[in-house]
Amino acid sequence: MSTSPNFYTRLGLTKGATLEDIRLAYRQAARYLHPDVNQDHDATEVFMQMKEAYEVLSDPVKRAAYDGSPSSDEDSIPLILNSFYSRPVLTRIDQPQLVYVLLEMIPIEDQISDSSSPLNLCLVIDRSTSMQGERMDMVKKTAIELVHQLRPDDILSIVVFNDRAELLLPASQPFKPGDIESSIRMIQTGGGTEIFQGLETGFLEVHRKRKKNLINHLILITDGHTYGDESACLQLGNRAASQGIGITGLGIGNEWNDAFLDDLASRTGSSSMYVAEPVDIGRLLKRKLRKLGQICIDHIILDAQMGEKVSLTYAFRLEPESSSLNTTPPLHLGGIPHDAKLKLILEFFLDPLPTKNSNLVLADGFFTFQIPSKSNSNNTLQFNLRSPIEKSANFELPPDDLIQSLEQLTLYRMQENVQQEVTAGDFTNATRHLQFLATHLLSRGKRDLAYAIINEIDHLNQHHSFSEAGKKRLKYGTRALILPE
Amino acid sequence: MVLCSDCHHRNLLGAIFCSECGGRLVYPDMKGANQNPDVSPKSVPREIDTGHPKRQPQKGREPFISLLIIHSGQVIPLVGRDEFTLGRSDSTQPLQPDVDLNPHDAYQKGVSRIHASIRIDQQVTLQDLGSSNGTRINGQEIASNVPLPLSHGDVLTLGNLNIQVFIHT
Repeated sequence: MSTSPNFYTRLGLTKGATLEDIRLAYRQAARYLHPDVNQDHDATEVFMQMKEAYEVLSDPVKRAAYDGSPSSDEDSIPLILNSFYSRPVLTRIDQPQLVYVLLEMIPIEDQISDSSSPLNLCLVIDRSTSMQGERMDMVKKTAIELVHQLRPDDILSIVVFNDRAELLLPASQPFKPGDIESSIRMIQTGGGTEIFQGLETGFLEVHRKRKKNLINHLILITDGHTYGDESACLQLGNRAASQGIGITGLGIGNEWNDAFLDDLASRTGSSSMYVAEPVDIGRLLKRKLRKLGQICIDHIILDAQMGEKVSLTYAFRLEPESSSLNTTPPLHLGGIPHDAKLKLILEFFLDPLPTKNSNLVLADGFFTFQIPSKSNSNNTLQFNLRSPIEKSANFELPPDDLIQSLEQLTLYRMQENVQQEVTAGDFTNATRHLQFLATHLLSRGKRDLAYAIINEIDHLNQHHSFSEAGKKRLKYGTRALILPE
Repeated sequence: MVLCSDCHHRNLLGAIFCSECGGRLVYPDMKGANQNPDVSPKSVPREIDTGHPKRQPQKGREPFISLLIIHSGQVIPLVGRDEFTLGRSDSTQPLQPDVDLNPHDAYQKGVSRIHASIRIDQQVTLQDLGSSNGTRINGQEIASNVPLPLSHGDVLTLGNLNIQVFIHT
């Protein structure tokens, strides 16, 4: 329930809103919350608050007076939160049903200082034997370029690891690029891969320098499976998440565990990247670093309680980085660069709906976040997702944006299901679903990916497993379709 | 329940894409046709054997097409998208046609797996997709991969399978 004292926030608006925005926001709310259509007590209370806000803001004289008063700045949040529902009303039927909600969080440029926040970054580099040659050469080259690109107030540390970790560059500031360059050139490959060793050393370095006005982040670069310490790594991931430290995984080649690296990164609100060819290492790392440097809202966490009869069955972050999320809040969502937005799709599964209520609470919750450029701001944003229930199915087309997002997401989910089927040994269904997936990709002109899948069908039928390359291609290829280019 | 018109999978009410085949389930012109929870899957068959389209075409909309399989008298309405591939479904092939002609003796009559496509725009066009036994419009052999306009009442021949096209505008 929205109890914000700020009139703009009550209507989901900001100070810059036009009269038209204000009218629209009020009318939309009235459609669901007006006591004539919604007898729910909470809804009426929310509606009365919105009405109070509307009556002031829709009157230019009263609005000017309100804008001049201190209460208008009290908890002004430099964000807009939008929600789009796949259906305007739910249907009262004796069957389970689904509803999708697209949540959009958009930073408002002029309220957040454009000066980007300094980084507190650690590169954790795998130097096991398999990295030898082109892979390590590219990593070294990129690391050296990055060192020269860092700004004076950025903090950098570098850890290299095989079976043990070595702190190549302690987190310090200022640093001398020339000295770092020569120690990067000296990195030798050899030994196995024990990710936890490197991860922990890197984590401690970032943690040592951690501050709220910095973007605290660790990038793990590896090309291999780690043995026996996965659960320790994931534990560390949770710790990093609770401290506002993001972990990005960069997997090179095909012999690394994508499910593990994905899990590790998504716990902290970040994601993993797949680099098939060493030549792409530089491009991807630099892009990631540029995005980190532009973050204006960080450490976003969504916490929510689902309503009665409602469960969250799928959650996916579409932007700024596509990544599937777990379905048990709190969800760590990472940061938003200042030219981007956060976009989430939530799928709610509803049990057969009770006959008396005219309104269903899908979820009540809030976002918490940090704004590195102003460390003492109000950092909570509430949201309430609810939907009216009607007897007849009132068909209305979902918003375009929601359909388009779901269209791409459906392909990614088909891939997820196929991976599960293969793991379970259900090759008949996996093959059929891959055929459907290939058909969709071909019809969208994604020929290369479609043919890769057709090859994978053959591989599956001959070896009863995916090829390592094909499996990653499938996952990261369908995931890449989700991001707008 | 929402029945997928492509693979007949039963999806939950509110689903937007089929969880089985990934096909889209909701279209602007459905107006609740498949979304009605009272409709059991049996009553929304893909092929109906009366010649009456369920939907009244509206002015300014794209034409509504149905195909009459001449030898069996069955009618296949083409709804829900603007391009349909015709052919015969074969589980060994990754590409499946939108309209499966297997129930109409497609194999015996020499229809290719992906034989031709019908595109519905302001105009309705037919394109042979490089089929083995060719396509004719009103008895005239047509070239492959060239879209040609179709008119109401035209008879298409895919291999040896005769289909009459009805275009309601």
